[in-house]
Amino acid sequence: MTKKITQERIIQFVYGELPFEETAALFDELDNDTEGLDYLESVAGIGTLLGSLMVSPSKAIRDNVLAFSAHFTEE
Amino acid sequence: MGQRTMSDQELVQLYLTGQEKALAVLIARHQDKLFSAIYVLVRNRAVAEDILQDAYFKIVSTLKGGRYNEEGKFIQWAMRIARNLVIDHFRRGNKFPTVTDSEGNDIFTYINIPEENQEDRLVANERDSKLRQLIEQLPAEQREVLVLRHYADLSFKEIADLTQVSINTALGRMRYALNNLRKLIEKHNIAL
Repeated sequence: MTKKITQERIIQFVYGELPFEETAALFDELDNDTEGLDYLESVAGIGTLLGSLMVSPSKAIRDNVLAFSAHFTEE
Repeated sequence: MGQRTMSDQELVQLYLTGQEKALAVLIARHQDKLFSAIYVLVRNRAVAEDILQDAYFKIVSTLKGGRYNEEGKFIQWAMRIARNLVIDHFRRGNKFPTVTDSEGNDIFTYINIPEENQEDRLVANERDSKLRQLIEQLPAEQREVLVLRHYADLSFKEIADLTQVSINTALGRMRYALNNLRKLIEKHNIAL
């Protein structure tokens, strides 16, 4: 695997930012690149792990902001 | 007939005409992304909520004060405001405070975990707490691009603009962040 270029292209692919035409080329390259495939798998796995850290704020924040907006007056 | 979702820009325009509900939709659409990004950076739920609320107050003030002239995406603008508030927070000398329970677990990780039973939840809490600690060990520039891309959902181009670096630098930082995080995950035996 050409580490610098391919790893960055794999990251772009995982995050949906690789242009379509480059995606097809990447797939072709990965057919013969087990190291690249392993990297793709690990980046995707880290992405899944990171996704578990998504959190929501309390409803009070939304209510406070909406109240602030409803009563907002420019000083 | 197909339904079209209103874009953020359309919601902003609607809000500017006095439709408060448009703000509620914008908040609902982006609050988890913004909050997760802020939370991973400051590692304290209460502080993250304060920063998120302040960010929204600034957004409201800017919009209602007629000072909104952004041409980019709403989320990018909102994240820029939040990021500046996070930077202000650390400039005031704040570190990474955590509140832990008797077992030493970050109590804020008990919230919003989707697993159904208590055992699953405890395992997930422990894993997430470890993962947050590992993210904290990344160099600041790598941690920031990871958070902005993964949680705030900004593109690498948007991150490059926001952090005033080239897109190649943003991508390179992400690559280092992921590679370093992978090594840390392996070292701490967290299953991918």
